[in-house]
This record gives sequence, structure tokens and C-alpha cells, in this order.
Amino acid sequence: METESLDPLSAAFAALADPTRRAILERLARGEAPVGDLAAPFPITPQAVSRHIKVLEKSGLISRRTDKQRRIIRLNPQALKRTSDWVNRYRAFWEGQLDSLGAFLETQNKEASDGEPR
Amino acid sequence: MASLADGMPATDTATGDPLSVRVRKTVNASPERAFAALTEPDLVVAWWGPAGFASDWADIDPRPGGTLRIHMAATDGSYEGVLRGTYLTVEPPTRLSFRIADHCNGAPELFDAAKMAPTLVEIVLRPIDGGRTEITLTHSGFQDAVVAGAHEGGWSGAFEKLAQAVATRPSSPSPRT
Repeated sequence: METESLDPLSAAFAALADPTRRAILERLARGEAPVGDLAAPFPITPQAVSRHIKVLEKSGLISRRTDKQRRIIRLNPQALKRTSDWVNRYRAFWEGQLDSLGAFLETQNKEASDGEPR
Repeated sequence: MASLADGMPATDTATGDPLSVRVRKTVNASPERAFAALTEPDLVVAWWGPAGFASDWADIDPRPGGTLRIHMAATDGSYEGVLRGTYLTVEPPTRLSFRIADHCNGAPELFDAAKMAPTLVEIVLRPIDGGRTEITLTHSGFQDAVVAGAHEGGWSGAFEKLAQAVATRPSSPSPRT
């Protein structure tokens, strides 16, 4: 996926689409880590891991710093939050929908019991 | 799958979609009645929309391949739109799914349905004790939709207006008549 032409939100969504990149993010959620440590759990080449890290970096979801010639990667929680905020608005919409449906069914129940005294 | 700290959206293990939404609610009605309320136009119009919204009309053909069009507007006039989609699964009274192809006729300048990757809504109704029904609704496909739209010049404006309208409403359901 070419992500350079995307706006930040779309780039983050594109980056999140890949399971390896999600696994890297989950690892980073526990704290920053050197590139070497991030690559270790995956049965793919270090070059492939490096490419995933580049995609994540371009998407803004992670950033890197250099510490004694080691590349240290950290999560950017704000960038991640933008994507979850976006999705959570749809959550609010559907929660509201099911609340309305539930209230409607209760109204039906009441009308039915009013109509059949017993 | 472990969830990420700081608001990482949960991955839907069923769909593998990292950005899906799943909501669940128990309603005090049988699956048959709940399913009818989801698929019969007169009933849909009676409840459709979160608090602060209402529907004037619904045009629904609940069979696989059939289309649905459901009007929804904010009662204060700040939003008006039509959800358009196509049913994939219609299995009364337990399972219903449809693709949403279009969500915001109210903002046509922001929107071109032909450029929009559809998102998927799946609804599962499960009978539970006391004649009640647990409804689980999953909305997925955002990743493809947003990325496809971004390539074509801005998908997000379409749902964005709806989402913002919803976000500014009170969260509790308003009484309906």
C-alpha cells in the first residue's frame, strides 16, 4: 500500500491494516523498544520488519530516536487515538440506534399489555 | 488478541478488521419481534435514529440482493441524509447483514457514492432467557472505505457529517411516540 499520498488519518488506517504492523504497535504499547527487539518475534526478515517500521513511521503512528547508535522506536498515542476516535463515533451512532430500538420494543410491550388487561 | 493501551481499536477476531465497531444490547422482545422491527418499513421508521434523530421514510426489500434506503434527520434540522445499502444475509429471526453504500445525501458536495468502498453491517439476534434477545451489531470495513476514499479525494466528509451530528447529541434515548 502506497501511503505517502494519504492524509494522516487514512495513512494510519492503511498502516493498521497489516497484522504484523498491529503486532508491532501492540508491543510498543508496552513501552519503547530498539528496532532489533521489535524484529525478534516475527518469522520474517529484518528487512521486512524494517519496511513495516518505515510504513508506521510515515503514518505518524510511531516515531524513532537514536540512543548510542541504537534506533529506539516509540508509539505516538495521539495518532492512534485519532483513528480510535473516528471509529468510536460510529460506535456512538450504533449504540444510539440499539438504544432507540430497545425503547421502541418496550413501547410495543406496553401497548400490548395495555390492550390486553390481565 | 490483547488490546492496545491508549485507545487502540479492538481487532475484531472474526473479521480480522482492526477498525470495526461492535455493539451489543439486550432488548425486551423475542428475536422475531426484534427482527421485524429491523426489517419492516413502518416499524423501522418508528424507531430509527439515535436520540435527537428521526426517520420520515424507509424503503426496504429484505432479501439477499435487495436494497434498503432509510431516511434520517436530526430533529433540530442540522442533519438530513439517507442510508443506502444492499442486503447480503436475511435469515429471520437470527441474522441480518447489509452493505452500506452511501450514507449522506444531505451533503452531496462531500460525497460520491461511486468512489466509496462500502462498509458492512452484520446483526445477530440471539434468544436469551425471559423472552429477551441479545442483539450484536458489527460495523466493519472502515479501513478499506477510508483508504479508498482518500485516494479518490476525501471519503471522510460523507460519514463525518453524520458522525459529528451524532456526537453532539445527548446519549440517552429520547422518548418516542
